This record gives sequence, structure tokens and C-alpha cells, in this order.
Amino acid sequence: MLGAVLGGGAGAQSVPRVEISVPQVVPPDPPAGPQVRGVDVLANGTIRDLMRSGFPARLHYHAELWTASGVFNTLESSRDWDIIARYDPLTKHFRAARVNPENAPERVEMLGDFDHATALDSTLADPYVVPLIPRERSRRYYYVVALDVDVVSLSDLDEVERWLRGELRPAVRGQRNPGGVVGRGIRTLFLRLIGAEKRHYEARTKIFRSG
Amino acid sequence: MKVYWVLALGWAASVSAQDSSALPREVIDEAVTRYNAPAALRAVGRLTVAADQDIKGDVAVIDGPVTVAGHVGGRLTVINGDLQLIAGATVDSGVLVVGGTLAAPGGDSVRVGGAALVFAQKLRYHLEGERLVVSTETDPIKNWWTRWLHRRDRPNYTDITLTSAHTYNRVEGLPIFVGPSIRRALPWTNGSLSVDALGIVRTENFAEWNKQTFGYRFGADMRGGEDPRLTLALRAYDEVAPVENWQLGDGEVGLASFFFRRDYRDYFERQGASGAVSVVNDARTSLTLSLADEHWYPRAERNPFALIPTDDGWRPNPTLDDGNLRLVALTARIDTRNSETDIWSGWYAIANLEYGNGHISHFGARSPPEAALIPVTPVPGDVNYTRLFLDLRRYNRLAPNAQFNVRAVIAGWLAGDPLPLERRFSVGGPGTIPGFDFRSAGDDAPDVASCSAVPAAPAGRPAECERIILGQAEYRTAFHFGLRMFGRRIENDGAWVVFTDAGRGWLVGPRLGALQYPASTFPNLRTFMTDAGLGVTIDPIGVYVAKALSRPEERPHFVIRVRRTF
Repeated sequence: MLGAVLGGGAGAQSVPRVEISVPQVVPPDPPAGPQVRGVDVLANGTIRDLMRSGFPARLHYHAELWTASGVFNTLESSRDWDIIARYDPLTKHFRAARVNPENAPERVEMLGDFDHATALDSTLADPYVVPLIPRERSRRYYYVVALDVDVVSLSDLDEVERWLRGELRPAVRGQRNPGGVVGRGIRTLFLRLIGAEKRHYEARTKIFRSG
Repeated sequence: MKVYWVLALGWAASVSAQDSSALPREVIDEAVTRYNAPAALRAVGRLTVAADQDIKGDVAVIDGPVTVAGHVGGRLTVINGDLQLIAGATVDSGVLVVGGTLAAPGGDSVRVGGAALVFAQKLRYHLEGERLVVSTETDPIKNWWTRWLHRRDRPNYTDITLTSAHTYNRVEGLPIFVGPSIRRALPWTNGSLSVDALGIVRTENFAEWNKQTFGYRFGADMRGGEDPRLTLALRAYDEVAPVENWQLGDGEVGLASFFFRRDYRDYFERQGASGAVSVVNDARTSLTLSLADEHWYPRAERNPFALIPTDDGWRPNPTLDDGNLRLVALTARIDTRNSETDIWSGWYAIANLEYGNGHISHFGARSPPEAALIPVTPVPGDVNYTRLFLDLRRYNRLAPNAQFNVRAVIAGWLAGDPLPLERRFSVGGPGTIPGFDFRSAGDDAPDVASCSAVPAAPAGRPAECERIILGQAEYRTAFHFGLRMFGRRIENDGAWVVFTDAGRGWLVGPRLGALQYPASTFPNLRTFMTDAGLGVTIDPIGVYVAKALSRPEERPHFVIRVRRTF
């Protein structure tokens, strides 16, 4: 039952997941942060269909560095960043950008322009080195990373956010037809029902000793 | 050499200055090439080349303005800024201005070798490191992301808000808020002013269309400063409020009401106004002083729709106290948890100290002090009280996949008259001690859950305890599972939970039976309700089984939660 992993047959579909690994420290190189990659996180029929229908996908990463010394573990530092991926129906290309890397809120790094979804998946699976480096040497640490994937309506982003906060909470600009509020709210609820809700992935490293 | 000008009048006249797509492609390419040239001297922002300066090679500037009085030995390129060549300025290899103007007040003393090209249209670009990259068309990701980044910081907006009250209850049905919301930035305070004028429509009263159908909530919030931030809030309201909202979440109460006709809260109507001043540090630590003048009214339950109605119908909403009160409250909140959603470590504490003073014109029924037959109703009169509520939690990560968490809730009367019913407490049930039924310590036991005199409890069995204490402890261990269902592989994370709870409530006064103790006395620990259980959670759903330990004959209880237990 729970806890049992039943393997698939030959050619089994790759499971969406986030991975985090600690690179080996090779002196005299300075220690580097962990490598994080999202594997096949957008390789989902529902998500792909939503993206082709004009809904951008947002991948929110949250990485933490914990010390494993003493009775209780303590959080030493954390980092957040996002990857936004969108399908352009005119060019029929996927585009992706990383935002808020290294806690620079205005900085946008374009990851590329892809003519196939597999190319986008491949880029998203490239390791990203997170600047989370242990402050002390010879202490026991581990990393934790969480990835939330959601697909949101480009034009109704504010309404979606309010729905997510308050269950039934669309909001309308003063210029819009207030009668459309309910329609947009139903559309947003529909997004959640059809699988546009947030997908959550987590991964942890083993405990390691900082060099 | 003379200076000559080329003005792209055709483009400038026909398109917006912000539309870089109207710039000739070759102009865009040339500007980008010049800026990214390895040997170019690049600058961002204002640049001045003084009369005695001699720069060899190309110069490229974005977001100027640029003033030249000296010598530029190569090409001068200005992107999205104005260029001024004053007396004595010399540029050897031409000038290109994109998104700005060129002025030469130096007249004939200015020398520019080669072409001087000026285009008024701005160039839309972004920087990748030091490299200039042009957005030759509307870049949906970056523009969209910029909007997304700043949507929370939109300084000014006017909205019409249509929202629910996040819960469904037996008094209102589903209350709906509708009305305008306005926000304006206040740059001189580094803050904002928000005003909401919301009407409340109660679906359960909609068919009758009377005073009870409607309410209102008007509010104005002024925020200023930055870590710490100061907030001033003013409110006027006529709304239905819960007596206790700390045990279960709004969503859980609403779902239990809607699906199973079990409403785990009691309600009263309050009409009045309040003001509050808060100091907020880092968005997670705050101190609030509030003043309020309210009229409390009892409200009866209605009969809203429930998907799986029970034979008993809705639990009556107890008749609470009716009166006017002035309230002064000090609330402190400290939150050092690593995350609000994925909690593994840290402290979370809320402390509320309230002083109330006023006149109760009609007291709600209370349990008789001894084993009498009917509830008692005190005579109308003045009341003043002091009350404390403290919720203290500590989360401790033991290992990458294990945590041990504890919680203590200590609340109750500190001084003055007995607490109004709207300010009393209870324990027991799915939100506190799930091994027992809601507000019940057992049919034949003293009611240390809600301090009522069974079977003479008032209708609806209100929370009557003047003091409570509750302790909760849990051990969680995370697991990852994967299985194949319907041809799809499903993997997810979950957690096993082992927990135990203990607590009780009591009244304050001369020692009387097992329910009433003097103010300085603490009940014997053997009188506490205790339970233990285990469960499994796959966020956000948790399924638990709890068994009462202090009362072995109590049957196990099966509980479903849609959020963490604490």
C-alpha cells in the first residue's frame, strides 16, 4: 500500500520530479552550491495542452540549507526563484525565462526559445547551481528543495490569485463589465478542476559534511 | 567638417516613441553592435565627457543623458537618452542617438566626423549580464513577468470586489462580500492607503430580504515605513462573527457545515467601529493596539442547505449575550517558522490581551452552578473583564524527514466580572482533542470540555469555560510513495503522524464540584481529557484516528482534516 513502489514495465514514462545534488568539492576550487533540476515537470499532457491554449506555466523553486548538528536541525539559509514557460501560438515556439535568480527581483534571464516541448524539457532539466553554500566547515548539512508547478491564465492572473487566496474571490478592474466576474471566476475554478492546480515536488539530499 | 543631421521623420511621425518595432532593423542592429563591441566604453545612466577628457575608442551609453565637451576618438552611441555636444566637443567617427535627441549649442566649435544619426523612437531592450539584448517585438514572457512581479506592488487601483467570507455556516449560509476597493500609493510614507466599502449579503436570508439579510464592512488602512512598517486601520461593520475561531480553519468549518450539517462554531452579530495601530516587522512579527465600540446581538440558526443532512438537524446557535461593549486589545504575533506552508522549524506565537467594559442588556442562558434542572440567566448589568489568549507553538526538525512539534494554548479570565459568553472557551473535538466528541468529555462525566451542566446545558451547548489549557504534541515522519493506477504512474509525498493531546476547561469562582476553581488554583492533572492517535497526511488532506486515554470507554474517533492540525 502506501510506501510501496510498484515499478512499471519497459518504456515506462519518466516521473516528474525535482532533483537536488551536492557537488563534490575538489580543492583548490571553492565550494559550490547544490545543483537543482526539474525533470519532466512540464511533460504532462494536461499542462502541455493548457500551455498551447495560452496559459503560462510557472515553476517556483524554494531551496533550503539545513544544519544537521545537535538535537534539532536548523535552517541556515534559503533561496527562491521562478521559471516561467509560455507557448507562443504565432511562432509555435516555447519560451522560458528564469526570474529572481540570486535574490535579484528585477533580473530576468532568458533561457531560450524552443521549437519543441522536448527541447524545453531538456533545458528545464539542466542543472542550476543555487548559491547556497554552507558557512562553516566540517559541519553536517543537507539541502531541501521544493518545486511548485502551476499553470495560470495570463489575463486573469489577479483573479486567479484571489481565488486561490479566498476560494471564491474574483476581482474586476473598474473598466470591465462586472457581469464578467462570475464568468471569470467559474473559468478559474475550471482551471483548478481540470488539473491546472499547483503540483508540488520535493527532494532532499543525504546529510553531508561541508568541506 | 560640418555636422549634419539625419532625422527619421517618417517613423517618428507615425508611431509611438515607445514602439521600437518602428525603428529600422539596421539601426537596431547597429546600436546593439556598437554597445556590445568588446572595445567599447559602456556606461549606464548619466555620462559627462569633460573638456579636458580624451577618450580613445568607441563610447556607448544607455539611459543617458550624455554631455560631451571633450574628445571621443571613436563612435559615440546613445541609447534611450539625450546627447548634448557643447563648445569644443569632438567625435571622430560619428554619432548615433536612438530614443533621444541631439543638441549642439556649441555651434561651429563642435566637430563630428562621419554621420550623425538621430532616431526618436525608444529601443526596447534588456541586459543579460553586460550584454544588451533587444526585444524587437513584444516579449510576452518578460513583459508578462514584469506585470506579474509588480502586480502586488501596483501602487494604484480601483477594483470591485466580489468574494465569499471563506466559510459556510448555519447562521448566514454563505455570506458574500461585494463592493469597491481602492488603493493609492503614498510615496511620502513609502506606503499606501486602501479603502474598502463592502456590503454583506447572506444567502440564507436572501429569500426573506430583511435587515438580517445584509451587513457591511467598511475599512481604511494606511501603511507606511519599511521594516518596521506602521499600519493604521479604521473599521465600521455590521457582521456575524464566531465566538471561537482558533480550533478549526474557516475552510474546514465551512466544509463540515456544507457536507455534513455539522457547524463547529457559535456565532453572534456585532455592529460597531474600531481603530487599530500596528507595528509590523518583516511581515511576520507584529504588535497591534486596537480600540472598538460594539453592540453584540444574539443570532439564531437558520436552515441552510447541507449535502448529507443529519437526522438531528442543525445544532442550535446558542443565545449569547446582548449588550454594548468597549474593547481595548493588545495583540502580539511572532513567527519564525521556516515557511508558512511547509513548516519544519521555528516558533509561532500569538498573544491577545483584551479588556472589555460595557453594559449587557440581556444575558444569554448559562448552565446552573449546581446540578439544577434549568439554565440560569443573570440579570442585566454592567460588566468589565480582562481576558488573555495565548497560542504558543514550537516546530523542531529532528532529521531531514522527521519533526517533533508541540503546542500550548492557555486562555481565560484574568480579572473583573465573569466573561461574556462571546468571550468564553471550550476544548474537545476534531480541532483540539479529537479522541472526544465535539465539546463533550463523556455523557456521564463532568463537562470539562465546555463547562456546561449536563443535562441542563443551554440550547446549543455553548462554550462556557472561563479558562482553558491545551497541550498538543506530534511526531511526523515524511515518506515518498509511488504506485501505478489506471495506466499512470503516481508519485507523491506524505507523512505519518503520531500525536497526543491533553486539556480541559473550567470556571473561575469558589470551588464547586469538578468545574469551578478559585482564580489561583489549577485543576488536578488527573481531571484532564487526554487522547492519542495516529494518522497519515497527503497534503492538504489528513486522515486520523484518535482514542481517548482518560476515558477508555469512549469509542475511537475518525477525523479528516484539510490542513495541518497545528
